[in-house]
Amino acid sequence: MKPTCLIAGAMLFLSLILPARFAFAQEVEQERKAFAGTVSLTNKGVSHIPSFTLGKPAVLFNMRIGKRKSTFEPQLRFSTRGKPWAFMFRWRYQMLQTDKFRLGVVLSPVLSFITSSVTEDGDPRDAIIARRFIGGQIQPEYSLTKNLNIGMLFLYSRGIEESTFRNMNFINFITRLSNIEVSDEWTVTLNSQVYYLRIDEKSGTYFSPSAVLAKRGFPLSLSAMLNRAFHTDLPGDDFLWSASVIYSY
Amino acid sequence: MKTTCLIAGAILFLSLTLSARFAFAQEVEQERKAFAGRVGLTNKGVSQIPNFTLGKPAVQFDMRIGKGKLTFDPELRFATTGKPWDFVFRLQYRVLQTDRFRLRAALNSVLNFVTSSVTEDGDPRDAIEARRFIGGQILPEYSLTKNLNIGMLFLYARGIEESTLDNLNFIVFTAGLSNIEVSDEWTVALNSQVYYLRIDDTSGTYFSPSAVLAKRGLPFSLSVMINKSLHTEIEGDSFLWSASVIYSY
Repeated sequence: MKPTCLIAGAMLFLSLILPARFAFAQEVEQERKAFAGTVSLTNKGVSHIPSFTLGKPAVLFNMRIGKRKSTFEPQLRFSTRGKPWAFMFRWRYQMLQTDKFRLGVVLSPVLSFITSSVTEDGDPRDAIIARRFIGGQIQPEYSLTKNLNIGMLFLYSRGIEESTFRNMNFINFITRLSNIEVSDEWTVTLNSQVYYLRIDEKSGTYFSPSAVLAKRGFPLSLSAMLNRAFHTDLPGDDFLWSASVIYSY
Repeated sequence: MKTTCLIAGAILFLSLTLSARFAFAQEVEQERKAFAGRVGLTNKGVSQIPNFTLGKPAVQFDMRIGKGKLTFDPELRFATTGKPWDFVFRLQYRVLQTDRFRLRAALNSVLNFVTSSVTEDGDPRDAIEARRFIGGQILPEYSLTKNLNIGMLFLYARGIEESTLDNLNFIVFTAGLSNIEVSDEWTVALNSQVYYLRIDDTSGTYFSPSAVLAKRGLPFSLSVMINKSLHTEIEGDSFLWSASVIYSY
């Protein structure tokens, strides 16, 4: 247990000096539209929760509806072959917002899809099976400087179907350094996340940095991410990476 | 066959003299918002396609995103117990719009959910299975007077999973009489639909009238519908009714 704590502590430190980013956090600086979103195309659908990783090319539709404190943020993810992968229906309430500090709470029902080989009336066949999860998250975020943010994410999720997990706890430390100018027009955002994941009796710690390259006034951006397990009992790949093209509207 | 044609003709006539309405048609008179929608709660989830009828209390989220000619109109339907029932992702294009005539075309991708008893890894259990459908529809609509519309809907859908239907053809004749004033504040819309449905090698004709009671300036309305088969080989109840409370935003 002690080395795990040490590693987690070291990673927390790294996570704080390295940079990270919240989804949608950059929008707070702009005037908010009633409807906004992104469409991403990725070479590999990766989730921070290993059992939710698709591992195949995917397309992700993220939307935010509403511009006040309460917003609806659905995320619809499909494999590029047209199979549904994960649908998240997030209801976010921005509890607190000052110049430096933000606190959001989220209620998130999730549908996750897998292809299983099933037998019905004696005939074996492949079927797309949906599993339901219900959960909530708390996201405090603090701006150290205009472009440097730190934050945390606490997420609890409960599986409804018996064939999936019961309880999931997810604690994420996030650091984000945004708007690093690489030229007059191009900017880079660097993100770093260190997280602890516990699913029923099993747990693990992970590190996940990412970078986003964007051009001012241009709706397309490029993103790359890594996901590395430090110490885990959970099944899944120890190392994953993916690259995405993102269209924002 | 001759009697079927006669019945269909008579019903078409009735359908034209009686009244109907397209979903969202009343919005054309208002200024369109970038985002609009409604939430409906019904005692029984009924679909005009018998295989898609849920038959249990349901909640339905309809949205329209975009205000130009091209809109994204997702419809998410759930049983009130929380199980997903039917998700429609519709991309709609307004081909033509004059004072009297409107023509719309849409691409639909649909996920329909059923609870199947399956055997997975040797264990029998209930699973929520998703079936995919892809299709398109064309909707011509004509205003005879300000409040009396007639229209048609041609819909084709194709099932992707082998366990479901291959080809579905759906032709609807619809007539709608809207804004009937029952008092200073209350209005009624009467709708009537007659439709022909062909699923693979089976077909049927159906009659489906409905009525909506609304109060001016109040976001809630009440709706009742009946679905009666006239002549059908397709499995399903020959008579269904449902009542709904609808909140529009």
